[in-house]
Amino acid sequence: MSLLRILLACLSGIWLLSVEVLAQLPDTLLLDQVEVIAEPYSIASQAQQQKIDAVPLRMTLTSDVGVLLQQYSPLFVKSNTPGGLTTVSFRGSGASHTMVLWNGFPINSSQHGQVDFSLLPVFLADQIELAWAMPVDSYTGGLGGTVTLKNNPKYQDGLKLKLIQSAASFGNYGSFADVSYSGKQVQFRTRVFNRFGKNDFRFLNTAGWPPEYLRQKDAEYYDRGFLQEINAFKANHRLNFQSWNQWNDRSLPAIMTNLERGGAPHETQGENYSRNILSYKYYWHDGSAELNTAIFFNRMNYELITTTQWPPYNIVTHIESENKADSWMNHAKLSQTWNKTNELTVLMGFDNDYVNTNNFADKVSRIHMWLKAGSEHHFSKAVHARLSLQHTWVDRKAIGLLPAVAIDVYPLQTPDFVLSVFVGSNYRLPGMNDLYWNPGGNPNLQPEKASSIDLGLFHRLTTEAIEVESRISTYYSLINDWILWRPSAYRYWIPENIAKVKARGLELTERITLNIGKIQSYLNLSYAFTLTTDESAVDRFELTTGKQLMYIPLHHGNALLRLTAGKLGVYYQFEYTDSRYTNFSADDAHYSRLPAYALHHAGLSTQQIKNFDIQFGINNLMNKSYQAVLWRPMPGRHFQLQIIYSIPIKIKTQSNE
Amino acid sequence: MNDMNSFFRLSHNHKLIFFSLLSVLVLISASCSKPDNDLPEPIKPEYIGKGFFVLNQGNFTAGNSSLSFYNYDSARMINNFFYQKNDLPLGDVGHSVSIWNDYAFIVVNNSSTIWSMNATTGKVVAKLSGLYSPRYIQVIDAEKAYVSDFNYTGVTVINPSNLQILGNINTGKTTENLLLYDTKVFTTNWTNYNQTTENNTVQVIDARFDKVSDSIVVAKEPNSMVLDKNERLWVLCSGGFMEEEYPALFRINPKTLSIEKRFNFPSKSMAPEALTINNTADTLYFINYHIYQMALTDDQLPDTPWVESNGNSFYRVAVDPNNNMILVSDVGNYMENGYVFRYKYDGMLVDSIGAGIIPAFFAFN
Repeated sequence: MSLLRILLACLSGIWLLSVEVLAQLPDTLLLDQVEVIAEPYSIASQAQQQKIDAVPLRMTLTSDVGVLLQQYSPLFVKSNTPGGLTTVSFRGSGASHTMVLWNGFPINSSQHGQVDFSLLPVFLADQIELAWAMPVDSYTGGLGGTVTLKNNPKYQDGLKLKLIQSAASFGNYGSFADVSYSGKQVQFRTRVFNRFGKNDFRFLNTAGWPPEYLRQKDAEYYDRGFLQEINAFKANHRLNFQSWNQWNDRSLPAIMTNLERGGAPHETQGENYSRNILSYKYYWHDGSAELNTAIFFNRMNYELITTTQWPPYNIVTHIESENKADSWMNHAKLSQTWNKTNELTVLMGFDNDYVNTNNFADKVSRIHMWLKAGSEHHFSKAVHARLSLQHTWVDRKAIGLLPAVAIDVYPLQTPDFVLSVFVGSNYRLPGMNDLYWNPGGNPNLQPEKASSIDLGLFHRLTTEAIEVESRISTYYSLINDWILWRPSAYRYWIPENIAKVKARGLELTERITLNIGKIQSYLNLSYAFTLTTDESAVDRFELTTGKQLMYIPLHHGNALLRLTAGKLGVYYQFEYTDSRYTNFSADDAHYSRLPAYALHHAGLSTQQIKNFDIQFGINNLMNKSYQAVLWRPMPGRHFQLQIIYSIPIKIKTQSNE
Repeated sequence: MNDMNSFFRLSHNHKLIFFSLLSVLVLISASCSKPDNDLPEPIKPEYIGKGFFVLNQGNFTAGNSSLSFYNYDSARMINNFFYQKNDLPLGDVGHSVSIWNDYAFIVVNNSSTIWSMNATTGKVVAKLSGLYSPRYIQVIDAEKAYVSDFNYTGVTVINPSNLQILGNINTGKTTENLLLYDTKVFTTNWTNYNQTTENNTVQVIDARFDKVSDSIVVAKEPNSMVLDKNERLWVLCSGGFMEEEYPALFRINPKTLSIEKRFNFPSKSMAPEALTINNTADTLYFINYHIYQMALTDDQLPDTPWVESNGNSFYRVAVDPNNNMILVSDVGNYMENGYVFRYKYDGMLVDSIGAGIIPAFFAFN
């Protein structure tokens, strides 16, 4: 019998361990009177924002945010390779139109405006939210939408230690540690992680002559970092400090048509950053004031080396690109409520970006100032209105006013049923690469501008046995002055504000939790219909006018069904991505469209069976061969097995701080 | 170990359910589902007739280069011709095509590949990979050809009959265009990208010994060259990517290597390129935003365009040896399908034919 146990343990193969060390609580607690300080009910409509549930967060805890959004949101995620460049698109907009906020500050690159979501570990976020409409009480969102990563302080939680070890197919491993101590008014929390992978999956190289199965090479990644938080509050004062430091190294694999390049090319990219935020908040009875400052340092290096094929292997090509981008941002916010039905918020920001790179002729900087006033009025229990007006200056030059208005109707006078309409405008500043790239950068570029209207419905039904949450929205956006790089009359390419894009569509998310007897079921559905077309003024290139933009699928959706009976669980996931254009060629049947694909994932789990949590999953169950990006292979069927092992440890603590 | 024991003391029903589901999952995953191959069936090989090929560069790192073929008899352009004939993608950034006897050598730059294709059937015969960044190929005889390179400072010597690499000639500079005259191969040193050497020379390689024998200093960025009926070499220089010098056109005696004539363009912001010559080798064509025509006997550069741009993005010029029509490619915004315009000698437009993305080179079978 013991031999059978050992054999089963070995067959399991891959362990995910979580060791939780808990302080032993006394049997009887004498509770002090406490004042609850929390964020007010968000004044962005429920129809226009979505908080990612705890279940998907836990299921992707050791993955990156790109994987989370691909499997559990209506957003379209484009990935070159697992662990490689991953971008997210809201409603068919560009990758640089997705704003990513970390505790209120944008982490988008000041050079190219994008965020690589493969570099954002889910492990470092306590809460992840999506917003489609520009919120009236916070930083201006992206033209397409905003992904917000939040770290939430916790008090009176004692000493906690969590260790996680993960391993999966293709040489992927991760180690995570989370240590926190929180007393009545102070919390120290440190999260450390280390992830690396070979990504040497097998794929069918359809560009080969003849097509053949190969193993992916030069796709390794190595990410490590830590997040340090110090949170404190006393009476009406709150002080928070977060420092997120990360080092990422990647090899960049060639596309399928370029696997036989001579000179043993080795292409790598390293990106290191340190993001630091200090926040102070003061509350009074019906208002608050905030001062937030952030200093971000970003270093990105790219290198390509090829050598001769024979000794002494002299260098044939050596290209290096060094990029330093720093930002210092200062935001202030003042909120005041009166008559319990009106709230006024004033925000202001003073942001400085500095870039030093060998791709520019000189070091450059930019000052971005903005002043925003927002208000919320409760006309009645059934009708609320939100208004905002923002004015922006860049390097002391006025950009213009950005108005936004939203009306929320609560037919049942509860937050469980909301109809909302949002009308507003937004902008995106040109990236520093667009402005100053040498040669070609265009310092006269104007911001990209968007106007949009959004109609949304949010409904939540809760009974003893079932909870159903539905979110439906339809939208229409017009983006003008979209920046595109084009060949100039004689020489190099230059960026211009020339494109005009219309985005319209429908998004649906549904979450159902149902208890029938001993079976608990959880169903999460997301679907997006996205029609985003190029409406630029063109002459004889009418073939592209009105055509769906590249790499934007018309239909995209996913579903998660999880059934739990007692301590056993089973899940099934489904993803569907429609076909996508890969270029503007109107009649090319061979390269212009990537075919649609569907992926199936499934797994089993046990929960807390004598401190054991076991999760076994198979991704891409049907071993589907597909490409998210033309000529970039994606893995077939692969496995992950997790065994979580918890041991309670008695630790003496003082009952009073 | 105690906790492991605890796991195995699960209720019988729990264990039964768990391992049943586990078995089902394993069975499903073990079932062989062949990965999909969504590529369509290729067309059967057959004689393709007389016509011309258009090599469409495609976008850098997009892997969407393609070959088009225009058949004179049907007056129809078949786009994605290479793929349709061979069930194969051409690769990433097709750069040039050279026809020798009945073979077309297609140089695909960023895939570091040269395809040998039967120019009468369109079927691939051989493939050479593992080069650095090949650009042009010049066949010298049935057993030797030179391949220029954007990254390697020299040329690669190959056997065109079987696409085997025979060796390398180190020239000290990267190489671009290749032209065979007698026993010499002239090569332009077009770019100084990632180098410190000057890119203002035309090097001479003695093809008998595979060695650099001489060098001619011209202007920055010599980008194209042709041989005229008087056995004179014409070299067109664009003056440098950063507009360092005035562009210039040179007439060179390939025997003495002396520069006989230099024509300077009036502005450094000009970027003339794509020099070509007609079938009787007495009239030059080049692109300088517009298209210009110049007789060998002209003693100055043409002032007026032969064909105006009218907003088109001209990229390459060639003269059809079968009908003397002048072919000009238009790449548009480099993202969508381009066009091929055909003109008569007097500049009258005959027709425009849709091609692929960035039609960059012409070859005639």
